[in-house]
Amino acid sequence: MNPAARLLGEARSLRTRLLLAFTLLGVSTAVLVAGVDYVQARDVILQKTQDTAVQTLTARIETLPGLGATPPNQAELEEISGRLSDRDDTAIAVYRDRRSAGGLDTLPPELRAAVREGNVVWQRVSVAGHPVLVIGTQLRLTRPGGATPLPSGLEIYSVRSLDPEQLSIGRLAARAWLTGAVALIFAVLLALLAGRGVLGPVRELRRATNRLGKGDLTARARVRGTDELADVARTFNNTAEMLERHVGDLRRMESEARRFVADVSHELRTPLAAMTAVTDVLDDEAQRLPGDAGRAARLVSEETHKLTRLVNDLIEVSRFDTGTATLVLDDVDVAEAIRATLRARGWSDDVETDLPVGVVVRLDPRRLDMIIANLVSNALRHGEPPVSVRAHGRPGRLDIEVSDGGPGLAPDVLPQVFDRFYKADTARARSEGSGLGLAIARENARLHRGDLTAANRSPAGAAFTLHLPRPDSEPGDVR
Amino acid sequence: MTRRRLLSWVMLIAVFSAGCGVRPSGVIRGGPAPTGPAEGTPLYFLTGSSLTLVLRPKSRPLWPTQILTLLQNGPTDDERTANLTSEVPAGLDPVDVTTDASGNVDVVVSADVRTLSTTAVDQIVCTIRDAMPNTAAVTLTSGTASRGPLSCPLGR
Repeated sequence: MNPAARLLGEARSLRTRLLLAFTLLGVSTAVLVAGVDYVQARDVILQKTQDTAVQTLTARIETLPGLGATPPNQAELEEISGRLSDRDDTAIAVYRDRRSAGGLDTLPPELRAAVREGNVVWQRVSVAGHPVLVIGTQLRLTRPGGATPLPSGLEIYSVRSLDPEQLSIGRLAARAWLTGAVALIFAVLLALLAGRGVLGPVRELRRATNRLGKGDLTARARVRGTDELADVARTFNNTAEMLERHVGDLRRMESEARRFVADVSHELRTPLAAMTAVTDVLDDEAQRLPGDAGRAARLVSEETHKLTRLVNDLIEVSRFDTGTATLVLDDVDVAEAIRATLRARGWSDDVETDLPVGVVVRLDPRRLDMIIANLVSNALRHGEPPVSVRAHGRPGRLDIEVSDGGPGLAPDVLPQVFDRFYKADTARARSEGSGLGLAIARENARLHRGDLTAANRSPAGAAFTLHLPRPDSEPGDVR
Repeated sequence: MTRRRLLSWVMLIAVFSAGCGVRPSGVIRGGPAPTGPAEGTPLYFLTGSSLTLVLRPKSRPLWPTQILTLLQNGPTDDERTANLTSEVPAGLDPVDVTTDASGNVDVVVSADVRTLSTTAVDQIVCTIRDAMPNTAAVTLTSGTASRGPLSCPLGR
C-alpha cells in the first residue's frame, strides 16, 4: 500500500479524506505541470547559453591571426587568451604542459581528453559551489588545397560563470513553488466546498438516525437533490415510516390487549364480590356439611379467594400498564413501617430485622407495605429460615434487603424472576400466589423511581433488594 | 512499512533536488574544432614516436631544401623543453627537390635513404608535403637507392 492510500485509510472523517484527496490531486497536478514546465524551461535556458557561448568562442578563434610559431611561449599563450577573453568569458590557451594564467586552476581531465578527439566539447562543473561552463577545443590548422586540417597542438578553453542562469532558473523554481502553493490553496478551498456539499446531507442523515435511535419514530431526513445521498435519505425515510407504522400497530395491539385484561378484571370483580359473600356463608356451613359436600364447599371457598386475589393483582398490574397507578406520598419512618407490616401479618417472630432508627423517607406507605409483604411472604414460603429484613441508609438512597437461608435461585431463573406468571418450579404448577407478586413489587419500586433486584448470597440463600431514592438525604445521614 | 515510507520520501526528495538548479553535467560534444591559418613553416617532429606538427616563424619564403635543412637541424631548445625529438640524421643533406606535373615529388639527399628509420622518412615526407602544394607522393633518392613513392600518414 502506498503512503497516500494509507493516509486516506487512516483518516477517519469524511471531511479529512476529501481534503486529503483534493489536496493530493491538486498538488500532484501542480507539481507535475510546474515541474515539467520548470525542467523544460531550465533546459532551454542552459542549452541556449551553452550554444551561444560555444558559437562565440569558435567565431573568435576563427578570427585569430595565423599561428606563427609552435610551441608557443608563455607570452604568446597569454596573448591568445587575452584576445579570446571578454567580460563574461575567460579563455585559457593551453599547449601541452603550458597554459595561460587565469580562469580555472584545474581543467576537468575528462574534458581535456575529449578535446583531443577533435570536436568542440563543453561541460558544466561546479566550482566552489558556483555553476561554471567550460568549453574546450583544439585549434586546427587549415591546409592548402582543402586538405584535412591538422591539430596545431594548441587547445583553447573558455570558462563562463552560469550564476546569471542559476538566478533566472531559481526564479523559475520560485514561480513553480508559488504555482504549487496557489494550487494547494485552491485544492483546500474546493475540498471544503465539496465537503460541505457532501457533509451537509450526511450530517442531516446522522441527526435523523440519532433521533430514530433514541426512539423518535417521527424523525425524517430532508431529501435534497437526486444524488446517491438523496437516495440514502429517501431509503432512510421509507424505513423510518415503515418502522413507525409497525411500532404503532404493535403498540395499539398491546394497549388493546391490556385494556381487554383490565376490562375482564373489572367485569369479573362484581360477580366475584357476590361469590365471596356466598363463600363466607359456605365457610360457616362447611363444618357442618358431611363428607364430600364439606370438602367441595371448602374447595370452592378457597378457589374463590384465590381468584379474587388474582383479579385484584390483574387490576393492579393493568393500572401500572395504563399508567394510572399513582403514589400517595407521606414521610414514613421506614423501620416503623416495616415492623408494622410484619406485625400485621403475624411474622414478627419468624423474621429477623436489622433496621436503622429514625430513617424517614418520603414514599407511599401502602405500596411499601405491599412490596415488603410480598418479599417476606416469598421468603417464608419458598426459602428457609433464617429470613431477615435489613435496611441500609446510603447517601442518596435507601436499600432494603429481604433474604433467606434457602437454596437460593437457580442461575437460569434469576433473570426471569420478575416476569409475570413466571414460576420457578414448574412441577409446582399451582402455588399460593397469583404469579404476579414480584412483577407488581417491582412496578411499585419503579413507581418510586427505585428498583427491585434479585441475587444469590454466599454461601446460600436468595436476597431481594429494594432500592429507594432519597433525594433530600444528607451525606452524613448514614447509619 | 516505516522503512519503505522513509525510502519513498528520500527518493521523492532526491528527485526534486536533482531537478533543481544548474547541475554539473558530463562532457557534451559539439561540432568539429575551429580552424585557423598557419603563418609559420610547418615541420614534423616527434612526441615519443608520434608525428607532431611544429610551426617555425617565417620571415621570407623558403625553398624545400632549406625547409629540409631546418628539419635536419632538429628541434630548438624551446621545442626540446616541450619534449620534441627528431630521428632525421644530421647528415641528411638535401640536394634537390623536384616535382612533376602530376604532383610526384622527388627528394634527393646525400645520406643513404636505406638507413633512414620509418619515422624519419615519415617526418621528411610530411614536411615536404606541407612545404609543396598539390603533392601526390614523395620519393626519396640517394644515388641509385630510393624509397617510395610515399605519402604522409597524417591528415591524408
